[in-house]
Amino acid sequence: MSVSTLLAELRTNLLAGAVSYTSSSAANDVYEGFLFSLVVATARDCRATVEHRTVDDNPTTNLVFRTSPGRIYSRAQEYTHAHIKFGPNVPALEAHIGVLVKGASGVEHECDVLVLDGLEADASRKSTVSPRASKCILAVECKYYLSRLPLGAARGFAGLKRDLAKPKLIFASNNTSNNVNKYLNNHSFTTEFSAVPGSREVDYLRTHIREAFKTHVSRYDPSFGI
Amino acid sequence: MDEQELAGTEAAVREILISAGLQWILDDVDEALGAGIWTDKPIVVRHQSRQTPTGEEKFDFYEPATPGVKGKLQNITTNIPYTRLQRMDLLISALQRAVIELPAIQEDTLKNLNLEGGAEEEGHLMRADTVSFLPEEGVTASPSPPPLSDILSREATLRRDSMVNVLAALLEEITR
Repeated sequence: MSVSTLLAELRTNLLAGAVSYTSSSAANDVYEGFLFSLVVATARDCRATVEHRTVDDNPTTNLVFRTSPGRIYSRAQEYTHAHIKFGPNVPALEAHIGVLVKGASGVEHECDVLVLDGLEADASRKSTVSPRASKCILAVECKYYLSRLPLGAARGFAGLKRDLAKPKLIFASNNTSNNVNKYLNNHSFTTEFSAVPGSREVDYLRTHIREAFKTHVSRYDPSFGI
Repeated sequence: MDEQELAGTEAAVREILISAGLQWILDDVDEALGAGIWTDKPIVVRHQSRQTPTGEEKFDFYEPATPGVKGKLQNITTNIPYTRLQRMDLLISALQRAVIELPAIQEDTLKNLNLEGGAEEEGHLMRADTVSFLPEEGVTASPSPPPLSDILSREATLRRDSMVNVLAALLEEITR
């Protein structure tokens, strides 16, 4: 087929909506949803009971996530989170997308995917304040790029790590870059690149997530095997 | 394809993307093109000194490590621009991700959220019927991802399959 014919077909397909995503933020939202689903699926595989709840704590099967950083107590939409319970002796956890967390400096930072102590989440909603980083067990920075992963994404993550010392921080991306890989791994950050459905990197990611759950569970109930 | 044909094809693809309202794909690609390709380059470090009004000043300068040049070798990281062919490859790869990878991620998300327990030792996961993204009120709405039902419709799947073939064929043509 000639190049001009191929270009004509490309035009027809694209104008008919072959690419359904209309912005880079929409693409990143999709990726955050994916990482959230990995957290939830890993919790289930680790024998947790997982329920989706609204900000008013009502169970729901219609999940609603933010498209921009927001506050855990926001009632602007019926945003949902996952309520995660590992047995009767382990305090519940919550998993959220795109909520702000207060770092050690007192400055708030957005966590793309966050897992935090359930009581802290509840108290934050009631007091309309952001939760403290010291009460979070896991935060995943999600970076979706079509071409190359820019170094700036890694530098931003390094800054986040300085202010959110307590939770396990993971840098996850669909893409890769030698520079970003070199920079983050030189500083011993937890990273997974090329983490897309069907890749072994997703399995490695789930191992990191499981480690965060293991640390939390073993503090309260070492006999609860996950 | 020669350089001129590659440049022409790239310009045509760019125009098509803009017409289809997909400037964001070009922005992503252009950011990568601007950064160039990072590469390690061997150099030889030379030490010299010179006299200045305030005394002797020592400094280093670098020479390319060409064959026959002696001295202490060091690697520096530098960036080089993409070639025409690499530019097209990047553009087509970006389109392939947008067409194939993103819908696959969205589909996998709903699967992960609806895993059915098989083994007794697994936990319980409440099902998720729909996943949507909504902006906070008062915040300028950034475009939300499309619903999964749109992505998985027969029409959308056929269009995607066609795109996959077109992009693969285009990649083959540009490397001839």
